[in-house]
Amino acid sequence: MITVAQIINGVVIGSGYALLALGWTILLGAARVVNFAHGQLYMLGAFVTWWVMTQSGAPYWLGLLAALVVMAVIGALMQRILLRMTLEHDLVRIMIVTLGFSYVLTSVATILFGGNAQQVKSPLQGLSVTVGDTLLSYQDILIVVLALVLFLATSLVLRRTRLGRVIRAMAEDPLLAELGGMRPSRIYIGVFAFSAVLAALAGGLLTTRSPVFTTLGGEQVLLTFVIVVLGGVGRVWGNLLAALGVGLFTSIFGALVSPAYTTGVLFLIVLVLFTIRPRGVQLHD
Amino acid sequence: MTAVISTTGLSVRYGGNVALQPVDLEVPEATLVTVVGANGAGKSTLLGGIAGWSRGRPVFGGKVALRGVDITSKSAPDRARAGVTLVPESHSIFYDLTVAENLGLQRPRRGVEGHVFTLDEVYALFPRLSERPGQRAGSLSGGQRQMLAIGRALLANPQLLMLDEPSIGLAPQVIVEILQVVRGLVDGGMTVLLSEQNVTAVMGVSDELILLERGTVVLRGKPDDVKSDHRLIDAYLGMES
Repeated sequence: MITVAQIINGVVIGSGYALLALGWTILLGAARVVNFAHGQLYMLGAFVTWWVMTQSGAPYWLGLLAALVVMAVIGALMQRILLRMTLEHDLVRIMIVTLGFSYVLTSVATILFGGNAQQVKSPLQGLSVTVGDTLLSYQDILIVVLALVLFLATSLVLRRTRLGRVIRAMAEDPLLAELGGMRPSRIYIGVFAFSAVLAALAGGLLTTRSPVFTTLGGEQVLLTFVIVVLGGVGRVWGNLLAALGVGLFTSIFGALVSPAYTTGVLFLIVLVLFTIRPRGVQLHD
Repeated sequence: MTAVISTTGLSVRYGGNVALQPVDLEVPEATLVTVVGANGAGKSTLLGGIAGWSRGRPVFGGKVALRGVDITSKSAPDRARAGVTLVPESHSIFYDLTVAENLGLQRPRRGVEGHVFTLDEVYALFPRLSERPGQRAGSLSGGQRQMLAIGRALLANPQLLMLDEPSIGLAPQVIVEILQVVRGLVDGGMTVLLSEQNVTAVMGVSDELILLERGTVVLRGKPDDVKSDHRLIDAYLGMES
């Protein structure tokens, strides 16, 4: 039987996935960059938060903020390296290079942070409300609320602002955008940094729920891939719904059947979808 | 008087293929200069060379100056910001954006002196756009797309407006309408460099014609002076007479 606890757990996990998927789908929609190192950015977000807290005794929020800043810089650097390939839509080289990034980031993280699992504590974990007979921590509420706020903000920026119009224009035709005086390189670097910040945010928030290893990242990329395929590339609200769906599925299927088969069954669904309903790559809702 | 745009030995090649032989060109203020030539003659390549832009991987040679200032080293976005605006031949608007969003993308360049085009003026020039601001640009007719592309370019307040084959695929009546708008812009002080295959359509509106053949300028002059030249007649006008 499905319980309230499983549903709440699914919504919280799904909100974390949603944060992870939001940056990935915007990056893929706007710049056609499939970033296989996205999961490593998530892992690094968690580890930088932990490292800053343990090294300096800084509070959780400062550690998280530091992780966001560091990952924005790393994301911008990664896109700078990918720039020529991105402008030329060289998808194969982009995939190979981002796969390379994922291994480099894992190795660097292992050297810097060691091979042990780490977890951080948020001051909001000690505070909770009761839903039915289930305890819901303020940290979990924060994850859900932040996901909703960031999705709403991203959707509004893409739809209602000139920056959003420019990002959508770049997604369609970066060369034509150049003739309007727009500089695709700057937009791409900004979008990649945004994507990295969201991955780090997801890592920094979710590491309060479960420990992270430096080898983490591969499964997060695969889950993000599933969510973006289900929700549609660049489709903000579609991705939120897909992430919540995947979160609920992971929680409920894991509890009722077995967590061991969750990813396999999710990919089976994706295979079926790819077969019966292939989608184009578009950046709109 | 300094030309708005001038090229010195401007050439373009793709790998080992020369697409445009060195061209010296001047476009004076408030004139409409039209480059004519067959498919593959190098018209689009010439306009792209001035804008520093191409969908391929070109190697540009020679120099381009805007009001006497060398802009050769500037990138396409920087040339656009300086006032060199190109409306390319195909895919000249963003199909996934609405009419209003396409027009809203364009910001006037900095330091514009004198007249600054406004959205209302663009809608007044092309009333059919004003009737459908929320329509997705990809669903517009060919003529409306061309109007939107020109409207977007005007909102950049260019010093030089370049239109690459604006008549392609359009009905004769729409071609006349668009060329009349362009002529009106030139009479109002705009400087325009046009490329066109439809020579008869531009004879009456152009101040100067340049005939390109296989990447080389073979004829140039005022329409009245060149209309009887056998190269132009053989290539284009002979079929009409």
